[in-house]
Amino acid sequence: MTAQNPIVFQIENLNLFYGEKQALKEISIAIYEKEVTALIGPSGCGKSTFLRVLNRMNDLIDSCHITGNVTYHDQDIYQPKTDVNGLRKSVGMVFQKPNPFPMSIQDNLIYGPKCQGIRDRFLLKQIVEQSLKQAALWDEVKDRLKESALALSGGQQQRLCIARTIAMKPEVILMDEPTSALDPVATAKIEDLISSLKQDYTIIIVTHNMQQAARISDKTAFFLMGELIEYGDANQLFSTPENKKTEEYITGRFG
Amino acid sequence: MTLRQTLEQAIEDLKKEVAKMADFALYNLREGLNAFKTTNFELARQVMKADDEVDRFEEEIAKMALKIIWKEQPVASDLRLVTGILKLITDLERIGDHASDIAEMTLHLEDNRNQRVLPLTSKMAEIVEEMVLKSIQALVRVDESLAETIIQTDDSVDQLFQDVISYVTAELKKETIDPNEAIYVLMVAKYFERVGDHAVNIAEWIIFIAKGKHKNTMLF
Repeated sequence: MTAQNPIVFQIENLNLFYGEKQALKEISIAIYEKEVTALIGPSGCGKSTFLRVLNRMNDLIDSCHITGNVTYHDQDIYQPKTDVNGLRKSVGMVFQKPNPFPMSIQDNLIYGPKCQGIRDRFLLKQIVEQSLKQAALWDEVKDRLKESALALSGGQQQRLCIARTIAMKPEVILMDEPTSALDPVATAKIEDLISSLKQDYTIIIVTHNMQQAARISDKTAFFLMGELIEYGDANQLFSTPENKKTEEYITGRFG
Repeated sequence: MTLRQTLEQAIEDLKKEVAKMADFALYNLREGLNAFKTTNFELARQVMKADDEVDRFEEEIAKMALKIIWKEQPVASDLRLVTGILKLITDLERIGDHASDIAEMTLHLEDNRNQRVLPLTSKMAEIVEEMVLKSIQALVRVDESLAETIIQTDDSVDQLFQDVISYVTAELKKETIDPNEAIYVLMVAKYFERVGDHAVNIAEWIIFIAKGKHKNTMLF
């Protein structure tokens, strides 16, 4: 048995409702530091909803309310006094479609830090270089940092979005199907990137691609109709799943 | 409607081929013993030649399994079944080899007299055949408790082999058995003992297919 990493998120008996409709039912799960946790399940199973619970992105939906406990380093993030902006700085997010700001590559990266009050040009330059290097994009764009980010390829744009998240020095990165709009080569680059980012960050990724979850995740959670059916080591879940529904889903017998 | 009918069909076909391969190997095993019993050189040569067919099955099944892996990328029970079959066909192939080995023993015998096959050896042959047959049933149904019974049965095969040794040793002391004959009687019994071991190996792969565990070690 290897020692378990410290817990970052502890979720207990989480229920989430969109108005009358319950989207998540009694979810209890722990997310561990510096691991890749993949959330899988058919469309509408609640996996993206769950992801958005973790940095309170669901707050943007009026009818959404939750019960249960969601703690981030033992702090209940749904308490009224929670600093939501601070939370979203620590728990960054990358979306399905690359969404760079319509500005230069470097401005994409320093926009966040500037909003945080960083003005030191040397420091900002350092942030640009470091975050691009960590996102494995530096070599490709270092000579055109002032060009528009929109001129980059889809895969490069997505890595820029990851770099932009990193520039905020988060602890956790949430990824919602980050490669579903990319070709296989760009996908492979992002997957390699995720594996290397794991050294420094905790990553939680929603994916429809089962092989992707198997390739990159340490732990995998299978959601079905708002319930967490099975959660465990990816190795175990993809070889000897305990639950029959998990077995049927990952072997493609239903979905 | 069940999804992934192509995968389901491919897996059914794969199991059927393994069952056919086992039938071939067992047929050769029976005929090999018959050849030895009756000192039938012609039949012995036929059995030795027929082993090529068992080898061909092994290759075909390996091709089918690899095709499922690259085309269907199986996981969970599908992955365990396909990889387990890839492993256990090696044991089936070895059983085929032993059938050929037993037939080959015939060629060392003197012509024109029937070879003695001890009732003990016939009993061994009967038990190991049953073990192999059960292993295929256990594979088709992925029945781990049936696989466990095969593993337990092997003790009786080992005991019978010890009994053959004791019997032949006693006969040699009394000089009631030709030393040349004694050697081949022992070797045939040894080959059956080995077939029992291969049936045990197959059973262990079936437990892996059922649970991901091989000889108490999780392989995942």
